[in-house]
Amino acid sequence: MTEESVASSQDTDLVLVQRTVAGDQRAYGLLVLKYQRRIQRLISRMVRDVDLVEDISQETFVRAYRALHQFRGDAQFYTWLYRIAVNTAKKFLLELKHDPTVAESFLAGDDDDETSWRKNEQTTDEGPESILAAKEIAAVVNAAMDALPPDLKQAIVLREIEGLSYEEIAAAMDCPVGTVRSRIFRAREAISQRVKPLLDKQTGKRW
Amino acid sequence: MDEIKTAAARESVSALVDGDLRGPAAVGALDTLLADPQLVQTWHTYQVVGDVLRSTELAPSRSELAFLDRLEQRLAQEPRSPHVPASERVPGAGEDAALIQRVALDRPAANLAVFRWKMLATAACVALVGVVGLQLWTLGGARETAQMAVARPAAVPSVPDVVVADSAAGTMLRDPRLDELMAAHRQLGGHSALQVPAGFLRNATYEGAGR
Amino acid sequence: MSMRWLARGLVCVLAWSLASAQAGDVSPAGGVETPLNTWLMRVHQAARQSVYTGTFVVSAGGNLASARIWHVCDGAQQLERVETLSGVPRAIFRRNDQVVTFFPLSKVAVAEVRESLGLFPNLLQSSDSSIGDFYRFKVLGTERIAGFDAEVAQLTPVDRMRYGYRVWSEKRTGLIVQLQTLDLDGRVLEQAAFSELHLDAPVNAGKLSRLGSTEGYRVVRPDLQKTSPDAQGWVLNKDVDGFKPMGCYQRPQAAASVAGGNAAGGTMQWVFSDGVATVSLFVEAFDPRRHAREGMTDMGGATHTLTRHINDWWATAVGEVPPATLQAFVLALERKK
Repeated sequence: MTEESVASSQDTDLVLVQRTVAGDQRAYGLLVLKYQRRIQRLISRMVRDVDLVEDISQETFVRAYRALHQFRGDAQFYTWLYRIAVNTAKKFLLELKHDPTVAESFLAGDDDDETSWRKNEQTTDEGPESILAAKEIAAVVNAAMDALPPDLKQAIVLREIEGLSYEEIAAAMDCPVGTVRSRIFRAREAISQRVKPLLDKQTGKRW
Repeated sequence: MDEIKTAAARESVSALVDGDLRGPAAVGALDTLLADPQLVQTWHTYQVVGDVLRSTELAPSRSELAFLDRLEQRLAQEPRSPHVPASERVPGAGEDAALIQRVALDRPAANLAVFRWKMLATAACVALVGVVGLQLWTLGGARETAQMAVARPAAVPSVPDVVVADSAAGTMLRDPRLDELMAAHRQLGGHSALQVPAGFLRNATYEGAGR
Repeated sequence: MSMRWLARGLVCVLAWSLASAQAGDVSPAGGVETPLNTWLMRVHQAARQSVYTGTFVVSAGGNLASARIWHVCDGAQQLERVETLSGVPRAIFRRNDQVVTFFPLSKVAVAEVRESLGLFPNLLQSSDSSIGDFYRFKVLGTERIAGFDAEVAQLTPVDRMRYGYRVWSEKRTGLIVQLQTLDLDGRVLEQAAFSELHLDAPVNAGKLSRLGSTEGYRVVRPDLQKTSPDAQGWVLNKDVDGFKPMGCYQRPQAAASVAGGNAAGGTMQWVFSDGVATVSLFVEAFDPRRHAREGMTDMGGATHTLTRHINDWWATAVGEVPPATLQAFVLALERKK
């Protein structure tokens, strides 16, 4: 093996993939919890119907699961997953095109014509409560960030938004790596405390 | 879990999110995480936080745990790789533990000694434990095997090379002769209505190394 | 769907009907018509007549293997190419029942004839076809697989001598897109499925055909001779429920064998089937240096092997059946008197 490269969240991805292939399905659940939002956003750019977006997302993760042994780890897991998502969505769309009973409005970006929105009866939109719930979560994260002490805020911004490694952050903030880890952890805890009740509300039950 | 342990566990989750743990530390932390639904929720929350910091569009509008739940029900239909923990490897009497791997799978015919992979022929006798009701496979048979094995020490080269393969499911021993017979079975045994294309792939993982 | 490919599909059907007299590939005219038999025939024909490309994944015993597949029915012949995506690199090229397996790493090409590929219809045709006596057939519903609507059916064994199956067949063509083998408790033992599939995909038969050229490869033709158990000196003193003998073959010297084969007389392969599952009984002369362990081995998934030392002989039973079934075969095998 070559010298240790900078740790990144991709390393965890690879470990989770290996675990899943070795038989531990729970590891796959962690990957799903990590990537489902990005995948759903990606698919919602191709398909308007919210239920269909969810179906295609489910299908994407099922296909990825079956093909996991093909993932070599030499590229980003998300890139690999992304391609599967796009292909899955494309196939769904091709099938829909062949089905005469399906309203055109399923297909986003298919037609800029305003009239394509008329046949909305088959399209499921995101309900107002769902939209509100998402807005609430975003607002709460922002508020929590504003309330953070500067060193915690800086650490988590450098990590989550700038994408720096712990080592790079340690250099930038002139502190040991252990301190970086601790600051990021405390920042996450502070924000999570406010977000978690909202996520629980969505689920409707405590896990 | 008491407060200190909980905080430490959660900090490990935070480190795992960033890929900061590696090697055995990561394995341990992962084991702990996977075994605790509360910690999995923590993982989920941390991931949501990270995504929302990067883009408010990524704030979830529906229950993501419900999504995972539904997905898991579908995945439950997929065949599971039997996960064999190292602790299930049972060493036979007096030989290398690694050579024998006995898997207690929830399979039918539990009254048969079912070996997951063919045993290395040069190993000393392995008693066919737990064989019930089969007159043929008695201790006599096992003893015979032992004698043959013992009588063979110098003849190791004539035993076909058994390939030891490492895979995610553990170290396995492959017998080239069995591989050949499997291939022959595939070649001529295709009298099934349910012939799937590339049904040969069934034995792709325990095929012989080329021909 | 493009008209060109629809036309090709029709040509295939016609060609098959014309060739049927020789190939024996007809609908069960002589056999019993039951929903199960009709369905079996349909899925069987679909695999031969459909035009498709896709990626196929087989999961068995904790291991996954996958391959890309191209299949086209071009006039009166089937062409198929399978390229493994995992394990030892291989490409298989098939023209009807002629199969060539290319191993690019060693530059060896193994050429074989797989007779069994044409025989299923005969099974159904014969008047004592009894697949329905051993499997119950039930349609469960519809599901989407690889982007296609598929009908889900279940084959449930009536006894414990065979495994069950859940089959997803694409609605329009009948092509099997997913197949699960279920153990006696109904749990999935193995699964084979298309992870992606294009039906009626434009496959250039000419191009595909050229991929079957063995130029640059050392061609090996394993020596395989048809024989009979009688000629080999073996009988089954007791039939195994539902399984009928399908053929008997002799592989002489194992010159092409990696593992040393057998000096005296080679290996006999006696093949059985109940229409869905198959079992091979291999018998060779006993060699104490190589034949050390009697017993059952789980090859992963639904396949098991069982070895037995019978006097001067060594028998190995291989099949996608429960261990008890292999036992029944091996215990019934005996030397002709």
